[in-house]
Amino acid sequence: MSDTKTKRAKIVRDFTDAGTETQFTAGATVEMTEGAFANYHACGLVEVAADEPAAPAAPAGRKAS
Amino acid sequence: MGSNTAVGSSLAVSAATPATLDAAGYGALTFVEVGQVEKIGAIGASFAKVEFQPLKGAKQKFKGSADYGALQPSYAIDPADAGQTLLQTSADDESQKLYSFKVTYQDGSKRFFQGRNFGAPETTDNADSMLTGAPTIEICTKIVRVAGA
Repeated sequence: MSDTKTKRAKIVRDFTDAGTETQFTAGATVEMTEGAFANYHACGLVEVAADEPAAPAAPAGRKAS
Repeated sequence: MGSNTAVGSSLAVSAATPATLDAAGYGALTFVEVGQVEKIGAIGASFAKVEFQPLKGAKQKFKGSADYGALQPSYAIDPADAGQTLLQTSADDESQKLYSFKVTYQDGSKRFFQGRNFGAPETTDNADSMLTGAPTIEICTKIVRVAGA
């Protein structure tokens, strides 16, 4: 997988990833790739960890003159 | 001999869509494998047949519109399986969102496509059978074929 950026995730409920054979336990906070997080988050298996730093604010757009 | 059995094949799903509909685009995605898969089903486009019978000569046949087909896998239901959970989410999704799918064969070759899951009914058969799920994934994009390494 080309996905290298990671994200801290809080596991919402116990689940297993059949591809990686990784087991996740509810309540744990783990580091995972952003791609894996997006998939697990889409189906409610994980949420953003409370200690995950907030995403930087987008740069302000140039105002039209 | 280049033939393969189906053993070792896998089905994976991603909530993301590729930037480009090619091997590189799909290769950049992260997929979740669906566990306990019993069979994956048929993959491949078919074309409508357009016929014309002239007064003189044989019937003429033309290829009409393409239908990329539908994937109908089945699996033993495991509520703790992440891939099945995402597949169920795609079935419950009432929007027109496309999900990405990857089928990997024993020799490492892959088939990528996007589709919509039109439902994943659960089957309870006799006592000596597993509870199974059988989604219908309608394929909505051209199937990208990647040869095994």
